[in-house]
Amino acid sequence: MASVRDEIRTVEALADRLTRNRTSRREFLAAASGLSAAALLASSGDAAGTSVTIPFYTTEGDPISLAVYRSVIAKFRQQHPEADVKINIYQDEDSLQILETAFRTGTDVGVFVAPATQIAGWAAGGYLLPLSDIVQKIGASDFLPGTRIVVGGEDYAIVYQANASALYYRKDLLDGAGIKPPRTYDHYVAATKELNEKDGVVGIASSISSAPQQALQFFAPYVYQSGWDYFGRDGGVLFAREEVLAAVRRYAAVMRNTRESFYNSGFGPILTTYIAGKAAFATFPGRLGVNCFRQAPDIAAKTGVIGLPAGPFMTGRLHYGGIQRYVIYRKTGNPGLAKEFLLALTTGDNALAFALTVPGHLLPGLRSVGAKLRNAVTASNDPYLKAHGDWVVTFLDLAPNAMNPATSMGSVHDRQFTGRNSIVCPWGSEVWTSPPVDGTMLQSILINNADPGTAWKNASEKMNAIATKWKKDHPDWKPA
Amino acid sequence: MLRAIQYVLLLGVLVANVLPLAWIFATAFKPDTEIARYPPTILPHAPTLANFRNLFTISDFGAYLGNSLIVSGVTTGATVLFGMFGAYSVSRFYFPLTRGLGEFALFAYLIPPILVVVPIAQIVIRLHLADNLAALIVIYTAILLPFALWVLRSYFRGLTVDIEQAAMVDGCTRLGAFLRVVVPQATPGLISTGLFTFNAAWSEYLFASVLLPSPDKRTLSPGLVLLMNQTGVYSWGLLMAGAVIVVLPVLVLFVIAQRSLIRGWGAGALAG
Amino acid sequence: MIRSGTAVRPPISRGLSDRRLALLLTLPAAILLLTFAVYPFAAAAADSLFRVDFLSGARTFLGLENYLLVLSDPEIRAAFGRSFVWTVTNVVIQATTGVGIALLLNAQLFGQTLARGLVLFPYVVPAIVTALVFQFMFNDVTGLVNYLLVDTHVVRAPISFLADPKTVLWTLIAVNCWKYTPFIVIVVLARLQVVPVELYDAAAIDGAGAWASFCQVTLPWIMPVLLVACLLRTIWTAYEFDLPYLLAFGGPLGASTTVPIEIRTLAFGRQEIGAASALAACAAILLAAGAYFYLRAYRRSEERVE
Repeated sequence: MASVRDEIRTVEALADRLTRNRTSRREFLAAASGLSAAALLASSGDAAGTSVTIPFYTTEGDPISLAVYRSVIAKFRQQHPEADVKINIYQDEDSLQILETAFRTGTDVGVFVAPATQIAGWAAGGYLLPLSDIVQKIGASDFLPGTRIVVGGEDYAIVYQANASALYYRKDLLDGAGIKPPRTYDHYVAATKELNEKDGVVGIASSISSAPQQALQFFAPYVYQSGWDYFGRDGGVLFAREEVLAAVRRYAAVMRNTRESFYNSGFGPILTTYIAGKAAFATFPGRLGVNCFRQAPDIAAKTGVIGLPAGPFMTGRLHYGGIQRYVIYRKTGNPGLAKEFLLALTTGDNALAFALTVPGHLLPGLRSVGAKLRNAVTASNDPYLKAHGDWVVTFLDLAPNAMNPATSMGSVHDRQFTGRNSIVCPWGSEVWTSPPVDGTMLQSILINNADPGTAWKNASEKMNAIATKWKKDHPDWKPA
Repeated sequence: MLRAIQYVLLLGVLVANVLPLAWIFATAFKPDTEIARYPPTILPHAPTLANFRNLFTISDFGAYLGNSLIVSGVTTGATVLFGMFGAYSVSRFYFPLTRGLGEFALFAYLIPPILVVVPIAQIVIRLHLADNLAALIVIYTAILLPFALWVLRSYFRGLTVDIEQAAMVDGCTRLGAFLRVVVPQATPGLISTGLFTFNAAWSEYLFASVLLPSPDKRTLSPGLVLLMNQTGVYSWGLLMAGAVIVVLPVLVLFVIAQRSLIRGWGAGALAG
Repeated sequence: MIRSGTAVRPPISRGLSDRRLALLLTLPAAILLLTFAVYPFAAAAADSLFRVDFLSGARTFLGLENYLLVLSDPEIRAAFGRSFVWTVTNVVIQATTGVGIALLLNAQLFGQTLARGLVLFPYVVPAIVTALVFQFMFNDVTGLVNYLLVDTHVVRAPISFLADPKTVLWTLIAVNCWKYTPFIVIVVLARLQVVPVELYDAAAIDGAGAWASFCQVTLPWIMPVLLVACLLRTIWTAYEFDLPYLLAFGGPLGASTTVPIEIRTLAFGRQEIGAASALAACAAILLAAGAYFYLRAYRRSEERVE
């Protein structure tokens, strides 16, 4: 038992060093992995006083992130010896299956990740624990805009990750062609065209597919930067505006400067292509940078990250971003301790350590943690942060205005951006289904050479039909 | 001439099958920096065991391997055993229960598994098997039994009854005749069924990931998927090393066991 | 000639009576199947008549509304069409190639032992790894296939196998056959081990050549097992989700969206469990009809062997 305590202390010390910048992420991982999971789990066999188990369901299976979580749990158990936290890991794609099964069998899922589109509905259905007291403890103003979910006056979720998808570019290829990093759309599309198929490199590594929310990721910035959104707060179909057609044309023009396989592929080829040095530009969140540095440091050395100039409105400042939040099962065994754990997980140095596991990708949704991250970037000895801390800062700058049309409906309206909101599009599951309406539109333009005007018109009409039908089936729905 | 064509065809088949295998193996021994290069290298320029080392230290692959061995091993034993008994009954007896077993067993496969996860999970919980490897064993055995029954049934049917009769005339009970005469003759069928059952249990993903999400109870298939995340692969080398570990045991089993597949039915059995 | 002898009761019966023995032998299997196969099947089939609340399981009776919804949707009808092409092509290719390879592995060629083991490799690779490997290989920027095709001047420009609606289904079928043909190979190969040599001798005496002896002896002998294997493969191929989805996501433009993908979309994309169950029930009915024909052929083939 004494040795397990020692080990826990070692992990604690390591986590501290990680956050105080004296250890690199790789060293942390190597040391933390020396403590087998068995050691940490064996400590749960400490009969003395373990009476409460808090189930913890997370989708963060990245080995380094998981190691941080384990150290957080170890620390938490030291402060609350009567508690044990049991980690369960699952994939995002399986989350609905796992959660449905759990709910239907009455399993206590404790602290878990709920899909952003479902949280409001599940809260209203009485499945989630109100978390307003935690939010007050953290401070409501610490939350970045659009990260809180409030239903009936109560908060129901705590954000742990809010990132952005930006533009990576090869400095050497641009310099070689005498091009400056593009700050306007026209320069951008010209650059992708010029560099496409030059020395076996594609203009851009970005992809579309029939998977529900994929086309959205790389197309949304074009819609936002046209001054509009897919749908408005009142449920109106803003996609049908002429400016959005212009956005479709702009996007299609850029995407013509790459190979056809990208018109139906997942995220993997974006990474493999850019990291192999075969793309001049790439659109992706922070993970591309981290992987590139690890697998091809020479390419990373020649890479820069900037905002994506996709249109005339707030050029290069409105992007796509994903927000992930933890919620608590209403009927969990010990709500008080569960809330304590959630608080420990998502704030302070723990949150910072988590953010540092994939810097620039796992961006905090709390301003205080964001500030810590900025400090860590400037002061750290970690090789990645020393070499490419500027990327992390860029992502940090872009993240507050990075949105998802399905969960921030109507944030941009007629060239007015009033900040990211957290309104869920009620008919989103029918628009962004398999295949999604926008994905089909883009694929028909790029693969079947359909006329953009016609394809866009069809898509708008389809979206309109979906929205109208939904509103008819739900007559008492009131816009936010 | 025919021989030559056969060799060429065999070579072609082997190359088509094995090329991706070779790529997976080769990649598992390359460092990530080499994997990311283009043009792709075929053999590792700087072979390394780091991926395998990481596999067992950074991720809990050792635990996954152990869990999978237990689940697949017990499932295979149970499925072959019950399948053997069941198939024998179906092919020899004509009681209503045995007939029904033969025909209706196939119903198990007519609904896609994702739609039966919830009812099965409810049963598992009611049996107090939640978070227990035994849950998977029971489910897999049940799922693989129809397959085993059907494949073994056609083996048992084809074996002559005369030998069985002869044994019983010599004084064996039906059960004794079954064990001493029928089973040895059906060995190729039993082995091939056992191998498929093992592989099916070994690579099953859906129930394993939904019913046993905790890291210490995870099996290999969901464990492998954990090495990736939704935005890509954490490390190609790690993933391929994992794939090697997942593929190798089954492959080795098959290579060993297929020797027994060669031992056919002794031509002299009927003469005696 | 081999007699079936199943209609004849054994002259002397010692030990457990036949009835009790049959019961004992089949009971464990029957219990397991009833609990984990028949009951969930019935539950899922029943779901198709209700609207099922995703989280609570609460049901509201809808009668046949789900079925009407599902069968009148043009996209779902298209998915049925694609599933038909997908399933039939897969099974035909796998059956013919599988038998061919099994014969090849039975021809006493040098290196047969190792070959028999290696040929199984595609079947044991997990679907996710297969999908990743082939996605990597078919990529038209960094992929091996296009690299070789262009380098050897077979084609002038790289082919985007998975992004062209014209080629995507065939590419998926090719990968699927690569992975699942070994199943047929092994089952048929095991069966070939117990062919009574006298049959070939008798055929040779009658003056049959290689092809004739294949048609008269080998084919009827393996037919029962081959039919069972094909029946199982038909059902499993019809419901195959992982491999096609991971490679092409049902696209492009829905060109590879088959019934299982639609089921998954209904169940978890739109959380309409009832509709998904109705769709599965329709597919199950079609498959059961197919199974009926397989079973008839199976019974006939068994009689021929006896």
